Amino acid sequence: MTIHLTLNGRRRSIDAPAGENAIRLLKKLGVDSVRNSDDGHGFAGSDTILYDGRIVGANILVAAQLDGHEIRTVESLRGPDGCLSDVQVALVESGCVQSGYNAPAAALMVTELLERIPNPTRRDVQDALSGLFNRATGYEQFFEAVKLIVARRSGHDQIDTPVEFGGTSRYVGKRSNKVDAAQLVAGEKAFVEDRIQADACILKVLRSPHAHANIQSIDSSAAEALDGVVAVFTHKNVPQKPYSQAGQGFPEPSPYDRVLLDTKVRHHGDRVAAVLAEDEETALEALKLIKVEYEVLPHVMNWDEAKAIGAPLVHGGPVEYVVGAPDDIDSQNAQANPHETKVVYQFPIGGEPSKNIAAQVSGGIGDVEKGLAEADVIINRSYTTTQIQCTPLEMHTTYVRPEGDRIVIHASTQVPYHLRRIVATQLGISENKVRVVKERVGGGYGSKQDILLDELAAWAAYSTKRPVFHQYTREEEFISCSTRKPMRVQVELGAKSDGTLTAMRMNVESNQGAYGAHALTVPMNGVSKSLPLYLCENASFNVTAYYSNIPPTGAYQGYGAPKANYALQVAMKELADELGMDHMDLVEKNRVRQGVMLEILKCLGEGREGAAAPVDSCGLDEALSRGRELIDWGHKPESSDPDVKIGEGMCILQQGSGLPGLDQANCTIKMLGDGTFVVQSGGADLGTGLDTVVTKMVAEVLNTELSTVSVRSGDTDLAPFDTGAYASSGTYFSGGAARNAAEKLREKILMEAAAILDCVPEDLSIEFPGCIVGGKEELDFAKLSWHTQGGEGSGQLVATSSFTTDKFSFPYGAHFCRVAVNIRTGKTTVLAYHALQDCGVPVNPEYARGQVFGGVLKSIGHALYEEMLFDEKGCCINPDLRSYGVPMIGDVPEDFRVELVETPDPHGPFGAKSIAEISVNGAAAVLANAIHDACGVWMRDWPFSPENLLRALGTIE
Amino acid sequence: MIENYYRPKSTEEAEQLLQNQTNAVFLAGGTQVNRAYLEREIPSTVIDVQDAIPHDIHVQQGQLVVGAMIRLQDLADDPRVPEALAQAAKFIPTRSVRNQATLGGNIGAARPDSYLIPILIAMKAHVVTSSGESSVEDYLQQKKRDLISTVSVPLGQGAAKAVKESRSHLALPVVSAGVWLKGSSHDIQEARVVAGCVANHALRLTSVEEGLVSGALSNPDSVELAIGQAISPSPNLLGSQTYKTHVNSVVIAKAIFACMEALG
Repeated sequence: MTIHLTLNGRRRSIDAPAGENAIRLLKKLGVDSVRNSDDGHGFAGSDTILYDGRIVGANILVAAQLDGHEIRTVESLRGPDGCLSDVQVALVESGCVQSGYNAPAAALMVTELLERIPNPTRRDVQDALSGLFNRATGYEQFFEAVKLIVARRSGHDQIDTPVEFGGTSRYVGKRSNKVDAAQLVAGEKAFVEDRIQADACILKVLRSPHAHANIQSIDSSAAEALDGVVAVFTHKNVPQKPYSQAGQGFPEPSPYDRVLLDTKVRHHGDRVAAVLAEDEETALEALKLIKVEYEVLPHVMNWDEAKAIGAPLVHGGPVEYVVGAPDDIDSQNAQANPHETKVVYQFPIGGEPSKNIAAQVSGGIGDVEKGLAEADVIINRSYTTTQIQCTPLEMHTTYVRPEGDRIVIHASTQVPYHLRRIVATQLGISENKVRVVKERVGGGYGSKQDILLDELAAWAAYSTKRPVFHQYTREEEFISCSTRKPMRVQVELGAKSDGTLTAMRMNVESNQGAYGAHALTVPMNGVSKSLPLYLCENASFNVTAYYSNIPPTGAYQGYGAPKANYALQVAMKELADELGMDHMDLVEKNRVRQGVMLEILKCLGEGREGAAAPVDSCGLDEALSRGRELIDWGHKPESSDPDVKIGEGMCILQQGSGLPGLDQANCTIKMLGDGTFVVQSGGADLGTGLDTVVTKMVAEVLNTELSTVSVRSGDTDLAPFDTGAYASSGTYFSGGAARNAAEKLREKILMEAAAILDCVPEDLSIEFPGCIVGGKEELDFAKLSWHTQGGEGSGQLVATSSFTTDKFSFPYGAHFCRVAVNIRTGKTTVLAYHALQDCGVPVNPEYARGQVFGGVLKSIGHALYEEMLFDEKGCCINPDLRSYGVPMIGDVPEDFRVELVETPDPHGPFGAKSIAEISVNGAAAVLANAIHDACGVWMRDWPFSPENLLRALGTIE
Repeated sequence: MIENYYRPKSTEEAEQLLQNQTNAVFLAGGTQVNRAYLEREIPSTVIDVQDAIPHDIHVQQGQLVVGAMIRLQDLADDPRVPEALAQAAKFIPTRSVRNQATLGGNIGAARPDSYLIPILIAMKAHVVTSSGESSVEDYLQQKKRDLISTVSVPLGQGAAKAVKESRSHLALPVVSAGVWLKGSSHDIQEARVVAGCVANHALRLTSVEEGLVSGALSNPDSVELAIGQAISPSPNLLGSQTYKTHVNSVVIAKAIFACMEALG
């Protein structure tokens, strides 16, 4: 039918099928800003449009419903001069635009709100944004943005003086806009899906309906015969080369235990076959034509089932080692099935697939038994956590196109260089034949550290010479993605009657799922980011990761820390109760402090030999005292409702700043002809503001305007190597490389200038903005560049530097909360949450706060609401955002605060440490502790759902 | 894929189109029909009734008369709408869905976890269709497909309350119920207690209603017990039968006593 509509003020007509999804129709009309995050469930809001002036979701509208109506998208918000609207500007300035995937939707929602209500309340803002799912920001800064707009419309420029850090630094620690925020909030092309060309084929994957099965036969002939099908892939026509999807540095501490398409499926949603077709409809139709016969096998879903005698083996193939095969390798392989894919370890990590063990390690310091013998009180508790989804707004997406004898991968990834290596290896080509272009990332949170779909799409593109677009559905995000590993953490603590810890023992069992990505390092990280929070001479740990048939697990923000820290911090409160001590007093007595040496790190090397490390900066003094004051510790109010009990809780937390001795970052800076700079950073900005950090580092060192520095990052052809954006490495490593490169360029600038000015470099300095002084005349960067790039010049000024270190810089934090527990319904409401966070010198304060808000709300969701549920066949029964249960703005605590504690770190660039990742490490513990304070029950298992709480209370059986 | 799309100008035309087509459905706001891609058989024909059905609100002879195409946000915002009904509309947690979904569509979709249906039944709401007028309760019980043009709700009688309970703000509800009482707190003359989320349709808890009117149920414990005995929710991803029974009993009982208090 012909659809007539008014789109952004202009009358348009277009022929389209009546039932076509409205997002598709808008794309045909040139609107790219309306995006899909939920496949039409009407949940996430990335599809927001204004329909006759009202916000609605385009994903649950068909094209015909637009006929005769007025539609506005974010493109309508720009002024006649192309400038952003005041709403968009405020969202950018308030730190609301992180990954930015649905920033245009947020801008439309706030615009509509202010058209209805010029001076809205907090509740009005909540209602206006009620349909916006935003995993990154935690929503709190949207309230601040609305206040700012209202103030400006009333003639006031600012509502609060921004809190600044970094002493006399010009940019570091000072508020400035994220460099890509304007582009994102305007809805400009920025993401992988925006790069697709009209000739792109669509790749779709047939997924296993069984949790564990052998593929007995597979017949793809009917699918291949379907008009429009380009190719069908099965185990018969793809490389059978074992690899790991873990985006870790090579050699990875993760087993190579999968192939592109296998003869065995190991989880519901595992790959069975793939179809490449000219369009999506054909690809989906072809999937239905593939005939598969399965031999269904018994499955194991948790650690107890996995380690039971006679348990089905998830990986029954032979085990090999590249180096360091254990002495009993032959006996391990005695019963191996030679027809099953082999498991290849790069080096020993304690794996024993013949016992469903993917990895295992233990260690410790001192003598725990002796410490327990000396204790007056001993507690031994067990805590379990669940499988958690990262749920990025932008579902996993890749676009791969052949270019001559190379392939170019437009990727939404945290690890462009690992992606290049893994794809090259799978395709059997060298790395110079693969280019990865990291586009803007619409949320990753760890799940985009792993190579989940790019390598299959790359094989499809390489083998057919056709461009390939592959994007997960939301269901695939749940059943075939990288998730947070369930864990069971047993904690044993011994203490003297005065609270002095004498022993700590932690036993971690991890449910690894079907494949071994991050099997060793996630649970080890749980130990290494929790036990060092307390000073105890006797401490030990044991870590075992079990294969099972749950969907794959991998990295998620916090890595292992949110789970082990939950266990340890609740155990500390349980110990305080046993001792009759105030919880905070017990924490204060034993906690880590600046200047101490962390001996336990000797045995926590995460895949390499560890070393004791000093704590050279620690902000816990201030964080704890400020947190105590803010929450008014020990003075909780009483509820007027007898069914509601109020409780307060606290905990401390830590993370790292990259992986010293393992990580490396590189950066190149070029001076352009007019004295401005292009920076090629290997760092992968995944929406957290890393490109802004790099920009600030360079401008700070070179004493030049921020606007004269442009960053191009994550393009493997252009920028030098970087390990990638994980393990909290961005600011510390990639920012450090940028600073080092800028320092190097600064030296070159002064040397060149000295030669021109007939003096020595020591006579010269750079004054803001970009002017060299101290010589016989002033020389600005433009003039210098003219000299260097002329026919008699010495050449373009370029500097490259790297950042590596063996120094540890730990960010710390203290979280406090107040909850209301309805003991009749079991529901817990978070009334107040205060996060006091030490990140060294925060480089981008607004975005640092935003990431903490986001991390905290995520982890509130993990602890209270979120849950992947499986039926008796091992199939996930809630693979959508709503029934899975992510938190929204309506769940934000009424009193939600983040304060940054400045503790200049001697090793990080300009005193910076990491910030984003740590913020998920506190909520589970602080909520469990507050619930106990409210109603006296210990929540030792995630989630703290109403039903689980009622069971703990004994209200229901 | 929807292949045929019609936008009739009258209810008669709409009904005629439905009779003449196979695999056809009425399309109101679209929040259910368009999501059918994911959950149910895809209709090949939709009959969009946006131009055929009224969407205004007026008061007539002690009744609130609401055009079935009214958007739920408008229902929530209109001061003439009884508070309990407006509250039920607001229970739909996102503004974008409230802006798109309609009252008639919500009734027609007949979801067991509808926020609107329990309170509409409790408040004795009626629908007008091409085949005449019937109560919402009868319309749903008889699984009629007639196109709803208006919904009328009696005004000024008794006390009503809608309640919901969910794990998080946007989570699927484990409780969605409506309560309406007439009389006084010491002498309840008429009671209607309707629970969604406990069966495959909204369920009137007649034993509880009778107990309230007879005075046999006068304290919270007895009311909770009676509610628990009147329902038998199936376990699903939202919880076990035990939990769902308990939480429905607690929340609905509280709503009953809130209504009693309002009656004075």
